[in-house]
Amino acid sequence: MDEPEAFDEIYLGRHIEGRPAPDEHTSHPGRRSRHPDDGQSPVTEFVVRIDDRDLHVMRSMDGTWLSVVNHYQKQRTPLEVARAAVRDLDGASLVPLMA
Amino acid sequence: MGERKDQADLSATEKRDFVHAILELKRQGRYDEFVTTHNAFIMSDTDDGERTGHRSPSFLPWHRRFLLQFERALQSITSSVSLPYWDWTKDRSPSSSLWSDTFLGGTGRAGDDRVTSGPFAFTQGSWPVNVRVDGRTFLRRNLGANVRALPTRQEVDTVLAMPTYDAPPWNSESESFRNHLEGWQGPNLHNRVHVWVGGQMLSGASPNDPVFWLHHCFIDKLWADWQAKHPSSGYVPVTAPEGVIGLRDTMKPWNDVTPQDMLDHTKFYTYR
Repeated sequence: MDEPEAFDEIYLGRHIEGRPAPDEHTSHPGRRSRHPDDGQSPVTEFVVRIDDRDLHVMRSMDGTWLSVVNHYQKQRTPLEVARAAVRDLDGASLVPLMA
Repeated sequence: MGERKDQADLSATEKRDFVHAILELKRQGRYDEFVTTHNAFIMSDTDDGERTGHRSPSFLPWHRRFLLQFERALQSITSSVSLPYWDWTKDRSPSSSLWSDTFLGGTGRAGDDRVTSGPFAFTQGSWPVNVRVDGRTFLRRNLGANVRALPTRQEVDTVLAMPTYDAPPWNSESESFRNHLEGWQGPNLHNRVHVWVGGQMLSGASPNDPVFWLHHCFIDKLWADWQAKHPSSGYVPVTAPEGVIGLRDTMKPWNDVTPQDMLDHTKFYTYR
């Protein structure tokens, strides 16, 4: 499965950025770690921020993405998830992620 | 023992008592604990890792237990209250009685999607959104805006006809009743309803909207209906791979309940 691309842009006046991240930087606080000899994992960790606040995102096995702002409707890429979240937030700030 | 009814069949008194009990739980600080719990699980239930509340076989027993805990909390306020269910195959419009000013209130206003009617409207002062994803403290909805239509009875029936409870890989890819009911594959039932309501119901903090309980009560009823149609088709997996809840494995956060414990809803309530 392709690695999603990093992005850094202004969208509807909000700064959105995203990049692959190692497991230690995951925004999945309850997530169990995989075995070290797993090899290529199909699910990539990816960090997304909107105006410097973390947006929790999650990748499904089929390669689609969700965010905590919309956790029920799939998007194709983290960029589309970030843009959809910006539209939904309608100017509101994300609050710090709950651990 | 309580009887869970179609919300359209509730008397005015029953609606009032249900709303009052919810508002009282909120006032006591107990309501928000349910939002926190749900959000924690939805953010950590993953297709390739530990998964208990969502995208997994235990989606249904976990939410059954979650709803039972909520219902009992309501009953600690008013013992006659039971959870009503929202049959969205039938009551599928923003003007359905569910959304009336004396029950859940209606859709959000233009611009900021703020709910301005009913007991959960921000200006009533009784429903601040505390456990939240973003800075907005008012309840939001945008009924029917994000998705074409609510699921139909025909779509529900095709899912109820699926003979296997669940199947490997026990996640959002599974071709099974559980996953088609949850909505990651197939016509999309449960997930789509969250999207149809919009607002907080779209988010991990979806129980911020009290309609969450009526929606999941219907999902719970559909599971019971499926069991009645497929009596020899039990919960699977019996022995689960790592991260997945098997029939006799305990479920967080309670650690004292298994899917097996949740198979027979009639021990706790009945559906009318």
